[in-house]
Amino acid sequence: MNILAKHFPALQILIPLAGALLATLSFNRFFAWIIAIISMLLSLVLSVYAFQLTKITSIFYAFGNWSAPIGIEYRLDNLNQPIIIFINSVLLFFLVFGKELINATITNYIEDGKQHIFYSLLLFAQVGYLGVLSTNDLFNIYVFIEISSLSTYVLMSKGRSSKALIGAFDYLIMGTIGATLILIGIGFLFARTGSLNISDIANILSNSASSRLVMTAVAFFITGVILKMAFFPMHFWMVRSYSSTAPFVLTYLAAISSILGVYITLRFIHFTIDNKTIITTLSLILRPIAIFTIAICTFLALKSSDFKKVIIYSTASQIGYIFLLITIPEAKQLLFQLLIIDAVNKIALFTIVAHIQNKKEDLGFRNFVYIEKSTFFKILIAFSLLFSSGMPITSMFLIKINMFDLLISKNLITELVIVVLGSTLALLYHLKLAKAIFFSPYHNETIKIETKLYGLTAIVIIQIVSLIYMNTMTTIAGYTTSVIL
Amino acid sequence: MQHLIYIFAIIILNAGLFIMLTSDNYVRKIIGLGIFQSSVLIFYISLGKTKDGIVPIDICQNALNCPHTYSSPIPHVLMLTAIVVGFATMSVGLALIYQIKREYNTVNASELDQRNRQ
Amino acid sequence: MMQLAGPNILVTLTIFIGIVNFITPFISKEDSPVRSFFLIATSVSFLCNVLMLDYLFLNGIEPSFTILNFGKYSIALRLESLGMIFLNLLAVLWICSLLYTIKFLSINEIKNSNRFLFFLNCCIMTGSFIALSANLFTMFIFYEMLTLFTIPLIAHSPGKKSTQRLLKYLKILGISSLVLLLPAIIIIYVTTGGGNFTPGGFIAGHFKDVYAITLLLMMIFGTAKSALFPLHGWLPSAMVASYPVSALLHAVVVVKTGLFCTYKIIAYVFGIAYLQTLFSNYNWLVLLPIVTIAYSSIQVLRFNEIKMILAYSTINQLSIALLSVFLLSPKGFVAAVMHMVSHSFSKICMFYAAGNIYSVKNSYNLSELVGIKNTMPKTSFVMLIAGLSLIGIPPFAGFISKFYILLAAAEQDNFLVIATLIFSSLFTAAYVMKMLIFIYRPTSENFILHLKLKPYFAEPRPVEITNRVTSSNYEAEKKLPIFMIISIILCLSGVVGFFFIQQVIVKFLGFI
Repeated sequence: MNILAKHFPALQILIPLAGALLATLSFNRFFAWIIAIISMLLSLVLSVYAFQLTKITSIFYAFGNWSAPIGIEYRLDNLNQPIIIFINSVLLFFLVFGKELINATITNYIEDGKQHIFYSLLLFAQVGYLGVLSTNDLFNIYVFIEISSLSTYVLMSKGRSSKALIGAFDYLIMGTIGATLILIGIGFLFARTGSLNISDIANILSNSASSRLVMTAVAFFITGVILKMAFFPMHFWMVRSYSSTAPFVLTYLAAISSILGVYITLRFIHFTIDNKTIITTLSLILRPIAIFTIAICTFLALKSSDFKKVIIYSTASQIGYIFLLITIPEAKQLLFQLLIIDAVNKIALFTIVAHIQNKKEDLGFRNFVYIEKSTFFKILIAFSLLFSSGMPITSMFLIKINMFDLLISKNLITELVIVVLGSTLALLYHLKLAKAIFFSPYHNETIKIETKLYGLTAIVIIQIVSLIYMNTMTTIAGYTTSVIL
Repeated sequence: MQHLIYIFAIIILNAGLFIMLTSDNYVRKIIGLGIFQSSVLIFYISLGKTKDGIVPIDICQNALNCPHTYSSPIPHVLMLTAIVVGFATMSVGLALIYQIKREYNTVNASELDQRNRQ
Repeated sequence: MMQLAGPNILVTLTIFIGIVNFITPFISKEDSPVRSFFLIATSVSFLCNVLMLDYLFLNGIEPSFTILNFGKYSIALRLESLGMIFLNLLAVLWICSLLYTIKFLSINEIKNSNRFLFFLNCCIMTGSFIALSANLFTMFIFYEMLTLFTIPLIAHSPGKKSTQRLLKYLKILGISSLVLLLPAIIIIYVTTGGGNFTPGGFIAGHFKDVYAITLLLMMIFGTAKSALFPLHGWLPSAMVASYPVSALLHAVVVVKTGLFCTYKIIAYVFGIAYLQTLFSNYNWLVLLPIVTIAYSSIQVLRFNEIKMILAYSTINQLSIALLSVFLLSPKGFVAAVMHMVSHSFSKICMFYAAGNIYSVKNSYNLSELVGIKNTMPKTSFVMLIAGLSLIGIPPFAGFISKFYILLAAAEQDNFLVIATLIFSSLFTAAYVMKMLIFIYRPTSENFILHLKLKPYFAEPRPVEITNRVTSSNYEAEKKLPIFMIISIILCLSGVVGFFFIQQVIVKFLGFI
């Protein structure tokens, strides 16, 4: 127990890494799956145990006893530990419930001797994300971003359609540009302060006057993050590459990538720079972009001709809401509620798409398939669409109400109008999705859903549970408004 | 005069970016990627150079009485990692290109677009 | 939270009984006496519970409790006079609807009746929750859920045109409530710190006059269920559904919810006195329903389809009720509530009679109503009474409520309203007469004998032993299930005996 308590920051990363390596050596699809589940289970248990420790105080862990600022240091506090628990549970859920869908839609299309590598790639991506979350060292963030990105490029290229390869290549080009811009930003900060440790940089910067070098660093860094997260002006590549990949992979990716982007932005803005004037100027820039995203992406979602594209544009517009909330300091609790609820919704929607696309490749609205018989599937779809569109009395509705409340009490009328408009358009494109599923004419192709629905059931149950326990969840996680700053 | 190196890095960055974004052939895009990442290498290493500093390899026998000034070794070390990362990215990119070539028999972006639009 | 444990338990029990009715439709796959028994028994016990709550309420006890709490917003229920009236109306009409719908579904061979009945019960229970709601947030949530629950009812029998109409219905209702009603509610919550309904209103003094009027307009148009022009388009679109659904939507739950929400907003959020000061110069609020009345009166004379006539007639009557409440006086308010109840009974009679005719003989247009007076004399009689009540002829329900409205308008010397009311009654007379003329037109025996009835009702001519030729067409009405007849008789007695009902209403409203 003592070893666990002392070394858990390293163990949290090392257990999935060990799992990834073992999975590569297992040479069998089923054993790789078992190894992945065991390592994720251990990792989840460990992170929950560690959560009790980080609630009390932030834990700083120096690798190899080389203390900061010379060595690499990990920092686990109540900002990132709950997120670690969340992504561990997302991957565990994905592995446990998605086995049949993974086999049907992805691994069946990989050559026989290499199917187990899929699971090890998943674990490598997980290691990368966990590393980004745990570390307190700027360059380490870049390294882990690259580790996770590399695994993600390969994960996205697998699937039935060979268009996925092109999508993955586009993602590779754009993602590398983003990561390199982040690296340049880190370089400027290093030039200014001489240190790579986040707490150390914050210390040095707060004791000195602001300089143009720091502004440049911030500009490069934020641009890199925006590019990597596919925030509005640079969202086009995401739409192209997401729409060609296997939808079940998107279940894992879409849920996590926006959370990671938000975390990196928050960690950078509040813990590294920590200079009030920069934050307000940044908000002034980010807010109009956020408003444009919400307006334009929901409009494009409405105009899409394809089931999957609607959901992808909806993901892009949610990023707009997230950035709008980042720029409002009192919105911390709401921000995390929105992130988690949105991730759960997206998991449900992409799982639905995976079930349908398993049977028919083309999801255009003009000749959408008619799904016969599967009543339970249709009930689950009804629930998921209700929860995702924000109809009363779902968690999304409560979040929207709190958002309206916040915007009204801060007198942000333009933002309020755009958010109301965005919600209306969201309602309309959900109607479009519902129309495609429930009201397609008989004479289109008919399919029957044959894959098991455990995953979808579990997600819908989680959606319902999160409604009741939303407030308690965020207070347990410690995300009340004042805790972060 | 000292800033010439930074201007050089910016030129290479723009060159790499231009090649990456406007090439039709995927292999050329990967080449652009390599050039783009090299510019960052130049930038970092030039950060570490001190006036009259030599390459940071310890050639002094006597640690107390060293007449040499070394440039800072940290950026060199960081860039070793960055080189490895760039190398890994290029390999993944080339592997993807190989698969694309096998599937589609071409690696031109415009031809792939045309073929997928049908 | 839970003071007055006794009455709260009674309220919870009432709700529980209502929820039991969600399960009863699934007792058997298709129509069976067991299922009908349980359905009716549950709704009758619901009515008994509501009557007990009435007794409690009239003795001054007002139970209230909170179900869920989300900080500033909460889902809470509370008994108060306007809500009690609505609750009673729903409880009575639930029994009538169930009696009618069960048999209507079976003789028209509509499949999946258990799903249909489940959503019907959900709609009525949601209406009850709206009646019991204690604050704006609760009311809004159940208002939206009502829209959701009516979707499977309208879409029950799929078809291409019905999908388009359904989407139009959803778009109008959904967008209006999301863009107009919800922001207004949240603005009220943020500015005043709470949204609980208080008699006499609670927002006076928090807003400048212009903003208050804007808020009022947002909320009035946001409750599109009350079918004010130009947000009335959903009503004719929703007519694509079958008769029991249309009756439910246009007479029982959906439109009455719209009216109820508007009444609540005017009396319990803004307050009649505050509104009088806002509109002290000139009460231009009454112009809104007048436009609607004019528009619907012209439209109704254009159509020859029965359902469309009934739809625009509903829009007309709803605007008359809104006209009365926009007079912004206590008398006008009482008259409006009166009209809400009387119109429910009249309209549901008319819809059920039309549904009977539809079950016997496929009738979409007025011209197909010829000969009904001989095949179905009692149904034609019901149509006659209901039509006379709509016009406002004594001693039926419509007359009493319209008389109250005239009194309230006269008290304010509002000649515009009085003139509108008279004109609207004239137009109502026009289309009702049009319908009745088709029903009561004298026809030849030959014509009647050759009327094509639906298979259930048209049996092959029996080979006669005696020389008396009896046509089964004359006996068609006797084959209607007894449930449907009981249901219609109940509703008819509401129309005819409205004099007594209105006394009860006045007693309840004395508590505001």
